[in-house]
Amino acid sequence: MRFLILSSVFMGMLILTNCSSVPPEWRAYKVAMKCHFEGKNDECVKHYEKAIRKSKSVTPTGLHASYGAHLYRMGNVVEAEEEFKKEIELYPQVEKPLAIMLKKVPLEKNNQPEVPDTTQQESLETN
Amino acid sequence: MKKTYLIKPLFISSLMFLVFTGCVLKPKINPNYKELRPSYVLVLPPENLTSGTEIEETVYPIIYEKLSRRGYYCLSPEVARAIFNSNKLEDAGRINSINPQKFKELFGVDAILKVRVTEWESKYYVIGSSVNVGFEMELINTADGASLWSLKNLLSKAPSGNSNGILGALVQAAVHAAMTPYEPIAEENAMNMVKTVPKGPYAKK
Repeated sequence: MRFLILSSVFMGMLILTNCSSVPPEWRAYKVAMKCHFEGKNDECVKHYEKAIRKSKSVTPTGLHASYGAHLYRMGNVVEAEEEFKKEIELYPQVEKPLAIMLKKVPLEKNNQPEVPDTTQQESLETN
Repeated sequence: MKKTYLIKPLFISSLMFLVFTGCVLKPKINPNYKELRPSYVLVLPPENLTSGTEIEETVYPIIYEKLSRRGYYCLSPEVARAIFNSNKLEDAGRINSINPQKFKELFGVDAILKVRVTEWESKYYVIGSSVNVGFEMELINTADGASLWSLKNLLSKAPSGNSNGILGALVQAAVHAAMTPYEPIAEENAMNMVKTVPKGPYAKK
């Protein structure tokens, strides 16, 4: 009987460690990302903010960049730049793509259609 | 008396089965992985090879989260997607066919992770069903295009339950397959696969 109880406890622990749960900040971040890719706008903000709120000691890598990209898509350029700055402070290696984003990606809401950079496209696709 | 003799071996064998089923994935790892030490990775939009729709929205955040939590700095998918889209690169297949070195020039990343969704479907048998999610992943060094890590895996989950009679089983199989969400299966498959990537520099000590 004792053997059975001990084995059950061990198996339970094994299952729990195998299925290690996603931390709440990452859970909220993933919901926000999915929301962004589904093309929703205002609704996603609360999920990004929840992810930031839930981050206690360590902010998930990329979270401020993601939130900044979402704000940028909504036309909130100043707030987007603030989020990008926070990300660069934590992870300086991301400076280059964030600068490209601010320079090259046209805004959706501001009705300022920009001609996409075709030279960039060529440079990306040239093998 | 006989029964008590059987309990111990049964428990031990089920325990062994549980332990080993979690350890069967065998990735191909570049022998120089530790020297190359990639830390900054771009997860490319997943290429969907199935007939399923809206897979990228589900799979992209999952893979990104798993690799980031493995200890790598991954470029935000929202940023990467926005840059690709502004370059009229909406199709994941086209993005995945770009020379890896171009990503180093443009984003400064050490490596790219290519993901292909090979299965995303429910399969019906005579009196059963299963939901299958298959991925192929490859981590590529952007400096020289060398493969750092690669793995293919199919996770198949058969809904459990008992029914009386063949008709009941048939109905149950169809209902279970239709009701089983793909996302947790994709999560589990991605987690099992990414667990075999050597830990990155941002991994919790």
